[in-house]
Amino acid sequence: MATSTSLCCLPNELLTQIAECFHHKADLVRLACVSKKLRPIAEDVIYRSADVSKNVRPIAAPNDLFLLLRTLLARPDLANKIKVLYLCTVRRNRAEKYEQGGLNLNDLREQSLSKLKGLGHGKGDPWYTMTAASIESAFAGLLLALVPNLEELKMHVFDHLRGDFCPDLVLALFGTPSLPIAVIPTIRNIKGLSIMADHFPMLSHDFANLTSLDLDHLGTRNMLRLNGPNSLRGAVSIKKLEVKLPVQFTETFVVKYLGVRFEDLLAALGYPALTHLKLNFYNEGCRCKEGHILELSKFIEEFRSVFASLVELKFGFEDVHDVGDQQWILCNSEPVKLKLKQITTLQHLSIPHQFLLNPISEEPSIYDVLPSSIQELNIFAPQRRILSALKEIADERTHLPDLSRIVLRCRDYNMSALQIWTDEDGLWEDLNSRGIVSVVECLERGKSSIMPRNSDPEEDEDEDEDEDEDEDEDEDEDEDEGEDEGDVRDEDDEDDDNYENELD
Amino acid sequence: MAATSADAKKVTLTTSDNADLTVEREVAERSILIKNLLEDIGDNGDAIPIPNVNEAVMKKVLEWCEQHRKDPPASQDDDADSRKKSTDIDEWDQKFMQVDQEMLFEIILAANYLDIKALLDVGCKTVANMIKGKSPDEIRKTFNIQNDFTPEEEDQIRRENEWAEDR
Repeated sequence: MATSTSLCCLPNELLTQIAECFHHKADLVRLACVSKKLRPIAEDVIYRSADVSKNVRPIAAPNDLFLLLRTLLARPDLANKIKVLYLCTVRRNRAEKYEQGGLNLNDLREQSLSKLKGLGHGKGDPWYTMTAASIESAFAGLLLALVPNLEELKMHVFDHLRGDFCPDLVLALFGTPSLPIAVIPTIRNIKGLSIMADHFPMLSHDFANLTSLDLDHLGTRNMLRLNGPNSLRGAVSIKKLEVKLPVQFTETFVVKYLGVRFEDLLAALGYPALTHLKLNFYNEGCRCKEGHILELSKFIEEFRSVFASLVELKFGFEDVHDVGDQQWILCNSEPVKLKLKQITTLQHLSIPHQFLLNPISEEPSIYDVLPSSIQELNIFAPQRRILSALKEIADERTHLPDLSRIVLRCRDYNMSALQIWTDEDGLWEDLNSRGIVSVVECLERGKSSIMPRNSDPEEDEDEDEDEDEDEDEDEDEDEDEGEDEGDVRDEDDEDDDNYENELD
Repeated sequence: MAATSADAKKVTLTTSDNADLTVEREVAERSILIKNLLEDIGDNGDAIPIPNVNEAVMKKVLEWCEQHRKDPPASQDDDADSRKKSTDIDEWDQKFMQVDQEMLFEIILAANYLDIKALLDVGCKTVANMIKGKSPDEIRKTFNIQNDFTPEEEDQIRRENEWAEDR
């Protein structure tokens, strides 16, 4: 080897690997300024992805997408690198604000118009006219035409920055209801698309490579705007669908009287053969005390068309930060009963306890509910009944032979992680001895306990390993039934302390 | 767990400066290159030549392999991104990487050549941590790099990347 090895002696692939370690692009920009050798390496990483969504709302700052556009117009080589783009824009002229923010919009507008001319959109063309009038979203449209290798696009286009999303996205970006030829390569190349549900009409265009679609806030109003089956055929080849939708779609009353069903969306998309479906519920209505029954068993029928292909199904509340809403949804939910069993390809299931099992009754058993193909079970806000269900799993391993991981994401309002972790003596060891990893997470405190310990070193940060091991041995010894009350109490106390150690 | 005789088997590695280092096979096999070599040629007891790594660096690399001999094999792709993104390094590795720059880069080159992904990651993160938060001039000073940009060129780079500055 050379006698003096320095940073610049490393081959480019290793310098790239170093550049990939940075969290902040600012570090990469400074690295690009260091030397001619390091500049292209840093740029290569900087321009893989661009998030220019952050400066939309502040009143005076120019939207970062102008700064990105300025660079990409001058450097097509960098534009070709962009694979991931997240942009937010508004269908308004905010020129005055940008000038206040220090951007020379006149120059950029001239460059943009000249580029549009080159793309065949000269004077008189609606896209050109919008750009000449400094309508911000038209610049975003041009940005899309410059990045033909884009694979992932997240895009929010407002009619007004107060929060009205534009329903005719293509019109807002390009001035016409059809896609300009210049942007078709980009659209056809996109694999993952994340948009507000208001933007869904754009899905009637040919997204030839789209496999993953994320629709945010699919409200009742949006559902009523669907043009019927196969009207969004541009997205027919998607495999992964994530939708944020009102929990009211599971309510018989709403489905019946408004005529809005989740199935309508799948029909409009041409019944894609989904392998992954994630449904994030939010509450669109009020939290009335009575009269609401969220019938999950009926709702599941809405996606019967994917029963033969679905590998992963997730029900979530990611954006329901209001605990009251969460509780309201869960309290009014009737479980899925025996419907999940029909999804015979299902491997990963993420579901709130109340959607899966009746919190009080022991019927039906967890075997009758889960398909035998299940590999990972992730339960949100578990209640005490889950412990007996898991005991059933440990006792009768043959019913769910592939199950290898159980995650319980606990909410204090149902049953705390501490109680779940300590109430059923020896349960986690039992599951472990039958090849099932268990994770109990406390969502309130963002901490988790795992059995077997250290099976997942990234999460498990035990500092008191010795203590844990001793305890494991103790528990192994009295796994037999015939538990003595006193012993159990002691164990509990010990567990409590230990658990606290882990969590704090 | 009791080691079987196969587990305790030793292999000899011959470094670029002709030093023979004997280590347990399990330790040496943290290197995918060596692991594959052993699988291909079979373990006939011959020394394995490692022509790209000298004794001092090889010893250091083997010290790391010894410490990490029981680590679970890196999973294929699921956490590749999260691992890359983080510049956190565990305490032992941090201490291990407190070497002069020449040795640091030699370790990185050796980890790359020997195909020891986790060690390569630690090396890259260590360098990234030395760069993080520094101005271009400080980076140049730290790594003894000549500035071959004019001030105008440097300004141009900043301007081009203004959209990414506060990310």
